[in-house]
Amino acid sequence: MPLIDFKEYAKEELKRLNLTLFVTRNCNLKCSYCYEKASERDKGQMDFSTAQDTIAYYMERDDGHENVSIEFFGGEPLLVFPLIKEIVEWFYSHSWKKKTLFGIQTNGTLLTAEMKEWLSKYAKKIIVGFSIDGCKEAHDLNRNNSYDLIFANIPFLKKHWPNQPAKITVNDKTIPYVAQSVIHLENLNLNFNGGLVLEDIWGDAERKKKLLEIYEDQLAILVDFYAQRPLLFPPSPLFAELPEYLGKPTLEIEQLKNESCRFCGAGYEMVTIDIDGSRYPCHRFLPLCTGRPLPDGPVNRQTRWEPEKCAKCNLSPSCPTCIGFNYQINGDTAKRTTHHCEAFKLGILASCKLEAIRFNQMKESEFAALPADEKNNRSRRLDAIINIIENGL
Amino acid sequence: MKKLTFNAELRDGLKNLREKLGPTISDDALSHVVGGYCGGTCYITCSWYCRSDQSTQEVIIPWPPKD
Repeated sequence: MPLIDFKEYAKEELKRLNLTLFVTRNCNLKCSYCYEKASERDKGQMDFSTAQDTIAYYMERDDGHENVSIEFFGGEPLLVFPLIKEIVEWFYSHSWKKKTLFGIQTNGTLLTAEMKEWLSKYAKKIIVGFSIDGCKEAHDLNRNNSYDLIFANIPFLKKHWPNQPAKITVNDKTIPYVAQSVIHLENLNLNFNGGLVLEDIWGDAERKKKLLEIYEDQLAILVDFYAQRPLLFPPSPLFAELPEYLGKPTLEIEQLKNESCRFCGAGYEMVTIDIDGSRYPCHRFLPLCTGRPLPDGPVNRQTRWEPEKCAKCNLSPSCPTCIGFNYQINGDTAKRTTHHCEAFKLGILASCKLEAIRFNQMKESEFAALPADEKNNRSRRLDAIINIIENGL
Repeated sequence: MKKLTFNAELRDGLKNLREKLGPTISDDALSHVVGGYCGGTCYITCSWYCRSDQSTQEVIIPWPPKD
């Protein structure tokens, strides 16, 4: 689709408010990569009246949002299951002028028979997402030996929310398990996405070089795995989105950056309410995460491309970044962190190689049968891949 | 250790295929997230990225766009 259509597409997203209720800071796990400060745990939970006032405010105000997606987040939200139940049942005892969908992001280890029964009843109104870091060895390394607990609950979660991707998170400890983990989740027939943390997990130059070599090896194993299974698609952003614009014959990278869309809703279509009712652009701006007070000025405005490394990089228009983490590390939401730079490039190479193999596996007659716009799209992607092979990243 | 390299056979195969497909119709088509993306690294299922596959739900619009 042309750039302008992409922007039109994004406008649809602007009709929905993503309201996150940070219902508790407590968690029953201590995942090694968690960005929430452990010292801020045990600070209580949100009051029912705070949740009521917040929801009523956003549901009733005339702000242009036609839909509200209400997310329960923490900490581990199921630690305050009675509060969640009370909020949802109160909500559906009233009529509202906006459409709504609830969500719970959980580690999946605390589900009881009572919770399952209630969630089953509300399965079309509440989406439950969960985290699993792959094979037992990898998951247990980072998530408090909780694999067996989440594994037991997967059939229930898959049954009710088959389309909600589970989250796989990789850090330095689990890089050697990436291939085994992804293949394990594919064998469980799970829908999942996720990738490397953005934090600086790399250590000194020698350690980083070694970790990147292992990561490349793991991704190469997965390229072979997915190449043999044409109906499966690898998780994103572990396999990074192919920067298709590199296939544009008249690519002007500066123009592309100038015309690019805001890709994240934080501060605009996203708002997070902390346990005390205070408001943040998204949960990554909570002092619990950043260790900083809220920024003074507006957030989430990509008016410039920083640091210099990103300004000069042809990949920055497609590179993952988190504005909350940018603020935490750089004190500026627009100034990007770059710890993941080399790993991201490996993710692009993996996508590029897999797609190249799949292109070569396609029969000429299959291409001939493609509609013109699809053939055009494939040609563009092919141009991008050839560009990357010939010129590097 | 395996490497993400592209051998001559793969590269030549792509070039042959590209020649057969002919020129692209226009050069402004992009079905890709432009501006970056969060990558889902915050672990929350916000509607901007991690609900991308909930397109069957009433209020959900696929994000980011799929090929």
